[in-house]
Amino acid sequence: MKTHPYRTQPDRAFWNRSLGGVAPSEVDPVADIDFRLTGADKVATAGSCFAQHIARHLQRAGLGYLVTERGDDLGVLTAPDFNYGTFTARYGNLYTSRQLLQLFQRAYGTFAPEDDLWAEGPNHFIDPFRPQIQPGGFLSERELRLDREIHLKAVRTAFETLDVLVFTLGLTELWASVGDGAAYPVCPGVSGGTFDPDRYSFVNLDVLDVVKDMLEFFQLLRSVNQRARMILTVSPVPLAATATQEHVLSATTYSKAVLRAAAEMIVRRQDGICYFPSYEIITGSFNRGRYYADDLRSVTEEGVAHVMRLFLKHVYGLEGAQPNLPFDEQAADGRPSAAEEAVRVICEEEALALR
Amino acid sequence: MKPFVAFGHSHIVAIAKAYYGLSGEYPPVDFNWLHDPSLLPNSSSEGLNPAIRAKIKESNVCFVLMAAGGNEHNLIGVSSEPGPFDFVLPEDPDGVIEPAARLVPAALVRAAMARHLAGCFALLRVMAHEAGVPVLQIEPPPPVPDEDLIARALAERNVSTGIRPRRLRHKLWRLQSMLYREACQNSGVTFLPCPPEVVTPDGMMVREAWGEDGNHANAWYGERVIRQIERATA
Repeated sequence: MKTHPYRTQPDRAFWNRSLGGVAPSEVDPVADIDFRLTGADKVATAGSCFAQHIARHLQRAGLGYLVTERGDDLGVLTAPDFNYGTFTARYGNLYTSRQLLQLFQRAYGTFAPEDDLWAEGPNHFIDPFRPQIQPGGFLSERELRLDREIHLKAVRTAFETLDVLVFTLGLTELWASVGDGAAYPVCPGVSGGTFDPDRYSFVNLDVLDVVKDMLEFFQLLRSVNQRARMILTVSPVPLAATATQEHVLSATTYSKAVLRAAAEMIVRRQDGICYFPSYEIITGSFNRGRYYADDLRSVTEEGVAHVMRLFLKHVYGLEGAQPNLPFDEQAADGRPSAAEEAVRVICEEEALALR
Repeated sequence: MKPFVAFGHSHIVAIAKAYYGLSGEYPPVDFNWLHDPSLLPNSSSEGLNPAIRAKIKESNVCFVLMAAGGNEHNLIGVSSEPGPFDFVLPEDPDGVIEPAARLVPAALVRAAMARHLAGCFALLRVMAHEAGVPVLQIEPPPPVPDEDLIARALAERNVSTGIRPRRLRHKLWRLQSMLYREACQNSGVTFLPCPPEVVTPDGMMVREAWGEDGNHANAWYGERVIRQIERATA
């Protein structure tokens, strides 16, 4: 028998063996993960909307989810829409690699953006780098500054104590300050501030930009925490809107392609970083679109459950683990389930759709 | 004093006691407790409770006096959870922050209070819409500074909880008043601040005004509020 490289490939390398006759719920596109975690490992999360699902499931599973800016101990003051515990610290959604890099730099004082607050009214101040972190913003300028100090200290604690950072790359499109390059999570003027084309410019990161940002971030992270590792994912959530001249579908395809390619390059270049294919699980044609809700954008709980089942299996070695959310008939037909309705996933970019 | 009808929760009592003591001076007034079963629910999607509506209509008054709610600041100020905390009061952003306390966003405290006050504010909206005469809401009395009095009152009622430092309790009261002021402004209700003479320089209730339970004010306080109402409605 002739031999060739494909003869020794595992089943997962073949479409017909790993997808063709396989039930959608059994599809497992995860290849080798370089490292395993245990419940004792401190896992931090950051990134775009989809990262909130990962955070939520890790919390529920009791798997060492690291929260350094807590709010669950606030008793009568507890309020879910203040974003305590949504991620490890109260940074809100970090959609882009540039935001993550600059978050580190701001936390360690090596970058102080000129545009450091937006005064919207006498008792209404917005942090441009987390404009929707709490309803109505901050009630005084002093409070915003004090809260930011607390927040950035919590970010430092997170970076210095985490074992693994799960970061979800969400977007390539961003708005940045013309003056100093500060990257905003949302276009100024949408959730605060005033748009001024002389002060803010549109940036669409390419693969090399994302790779550079992420590798620089990882070097900085390792400089304060030598054992830090990172799991990268790409958000399957399409763009709510594009600032390019493209159709939003083409812009989404470009953005996700860039992020996926960048993730691959990063993993190949840097030890201590691996990729988890949640993007493939949600977007793969094998599920015939059932992992998207009726808006064709939100990910259903069924899809999230599939991702998390494989995450627990491959990252934690928890074979057969069931994510702590039920699969139900309603979710199976593509409509959001009651559980999904209860899920509070905050996407600041959603605000774009309202304007 | 122009004729009026009054509705309120517990803080209406000090006003009523004082008013009854001044009965020779003023026309009779119907003081109503909003927890009275015949007035519940005070309002619904269909508007005011018909019994409340009837009382206003039948009494042929010039204004409605409201003392809706007002102890919501104590739900946080007299509690042990969360642990020691502080916040920046928006009206006094340069005020002292307790260095050993955990700083929380004022908006978080405000949101917690607003949740508790939502029913009162809904009633004010409906009242202003249906009363047909001006509606006045009095500012709830400032906090009692004496922690021992509060502790004794709680112990007598077998309530075991913490008492926040007086500076924080003062801030909570002022934040609550901010919410009242905004709610009144948004509803077309006149907000009547506490008479200056009932407030100490550091913003607590003066000794002469203390009720017996470390929370409510007494008739002395009520009398000063009545004089203020008279001036405001003259």
